[in-house]
Amino acid sequence: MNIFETIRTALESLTANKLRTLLTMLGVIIGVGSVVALLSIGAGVTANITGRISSIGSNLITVSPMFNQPGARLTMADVAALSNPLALPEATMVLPEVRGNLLVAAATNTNNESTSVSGEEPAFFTMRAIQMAEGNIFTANDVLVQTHVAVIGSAVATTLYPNGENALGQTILVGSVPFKVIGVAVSVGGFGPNNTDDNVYVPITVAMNKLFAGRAAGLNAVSDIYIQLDQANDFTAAQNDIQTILRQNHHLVPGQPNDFRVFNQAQIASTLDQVSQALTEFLGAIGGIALLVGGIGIMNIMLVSVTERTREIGVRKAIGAKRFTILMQFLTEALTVSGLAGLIGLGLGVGASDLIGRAQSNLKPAVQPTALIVAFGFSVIIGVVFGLYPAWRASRLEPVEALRYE
Amino acid sequence: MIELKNITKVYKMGNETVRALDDVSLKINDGEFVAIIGPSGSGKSTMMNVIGCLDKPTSGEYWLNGKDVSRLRDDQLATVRNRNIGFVFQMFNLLNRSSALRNVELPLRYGGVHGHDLYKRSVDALDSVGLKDRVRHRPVELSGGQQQRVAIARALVTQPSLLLADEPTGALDSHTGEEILRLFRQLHEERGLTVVLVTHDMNIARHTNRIVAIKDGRIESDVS
Repeated sequence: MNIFETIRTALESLTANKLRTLLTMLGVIIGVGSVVALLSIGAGVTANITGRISSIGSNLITVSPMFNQPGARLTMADVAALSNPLALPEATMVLPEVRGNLLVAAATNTNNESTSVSGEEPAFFTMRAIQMAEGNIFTANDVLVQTHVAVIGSAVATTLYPNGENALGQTILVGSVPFKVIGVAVSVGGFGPNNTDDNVYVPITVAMNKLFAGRAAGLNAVSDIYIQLDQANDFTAAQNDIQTILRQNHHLVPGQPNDFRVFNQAQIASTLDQVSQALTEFLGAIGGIALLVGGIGIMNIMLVSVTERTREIGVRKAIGAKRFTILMQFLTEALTVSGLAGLIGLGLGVGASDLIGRAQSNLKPAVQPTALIVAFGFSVIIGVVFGLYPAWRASRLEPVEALRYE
Repeated sequence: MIELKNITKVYKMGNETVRALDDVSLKINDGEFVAIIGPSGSGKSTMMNVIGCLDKPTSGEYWLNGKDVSRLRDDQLATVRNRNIGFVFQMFNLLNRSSALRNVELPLRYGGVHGHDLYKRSVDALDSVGLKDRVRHRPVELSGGQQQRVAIARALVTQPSLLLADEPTGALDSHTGEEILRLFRQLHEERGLTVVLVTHDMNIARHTNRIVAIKDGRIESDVS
């Protein structure tokens, strides 16, 4: 018996009971499909997160007030202390930021949304590599003379001007203060807080004095301080220096806890990476369990099939089939079921990933070639593992007993 | 040539042991047409299983074509059955999903025959039982008599020396049964094939040249 004949025989008996074959395959189809789709989504999320982190820059340290200490704050005095090249020589840029959520409305229509508004220095755009799709960023002079100008993210532009009007040159109201739009940022995609697309950027002085003036009047409070380091420097040493400077500036005595937090993007990146890795593994495991259940389904049906076809096995043995031939016949059947189901599952998984990508533009599922190979390979292995026992049982049947079976 | 020497076959049924064959010796020469007859429970089925190499005796020797096959391993017995013995069963035992041709091809495939040889020999076998125009039909599309002819073609296709038929007319009406028996006689006369027919029915046994009667696991009479 050559392999083609064996496969043909397997297909003959599988097509003889199409509904049963389909139901048997369903478990593996769902298993393979979900492994492929879930791993694609996991990879999409990971790529999204790491892409955004790397666009922020890995040599960036962020200092924020300690969130669980009321009254803890960072001020322009801290910025000045950190900007001293004698105190912190590792820093190539020290930028304060003031941010909050405000209602942003178009002056010429009724569209509005509550979104993230931040006051920045012009250098912020360089540091974050934010490009303008239209117009320009504000200048150091705008910060100095407190011009009411704004750079808006692409999502904000579409929300306020959904009918395709040019946002550039329009007047928008940020918390009832009028600003002229001088720049629209290039869309970067992604989601979550601090996302460029959903942000409105204004000169930091205007933000401090007009938008968030009530927060800590006269204190020149800032929300965060970004410190960009020379790539060559040791992060830990720089973080220690920053702590020392700020503790002095805040008159903290030894033993008193920090009223600020210092963290770098590399830490966030690695944490998020671990999270998304765990997520991917978790999703993969769910699919794997579905595959396993599918395999048990195959074994179940194959055992039924062997019992039903006891007489056929007896006839085959009587006319000269050896044990190995019978073993291969049933193993091929199990493999055909699981392999075929694997292929259908791959198609469904890829299709589902594509559909999810269309429905949810923020999630860009990336179909992983390795996931395809692994999922298909697994379905084949499952066919062998769960087909082997029924096939072995079939091959061990005594011809006399098998022929007598009613 | 078939030679059974002091064959005993003991079964365990629960706590009881049953001597299905009790020290049986029998010799069948090449080209004989023999009936083995006996009521149910007589041991004739066990005898057929031993002669057909489907079952191994508990003790004694079985010489088939000058070779002791009573101590062979299962896979070796499969080869002996494939090359030397053609089986015809009461219920035909064809594969219902496959065409007549593919049913007949199967023993040759198990014997490693392939290509044009496989096709030609299978069609020839079907031709010899008068079914040349039914090669593509599946068993359900054939009458009982035709199905039994396909089964006979399948038994003949490897050109065995022995044709072993177990109640071959049991599922057929008497007229069709007669036809099948005539076919056996024709094969026996034209090809010199050894035919062993196992039955409980004396009217069928009469068609043969020698009647071996079994009772309680022993040969009761052997009449030529």
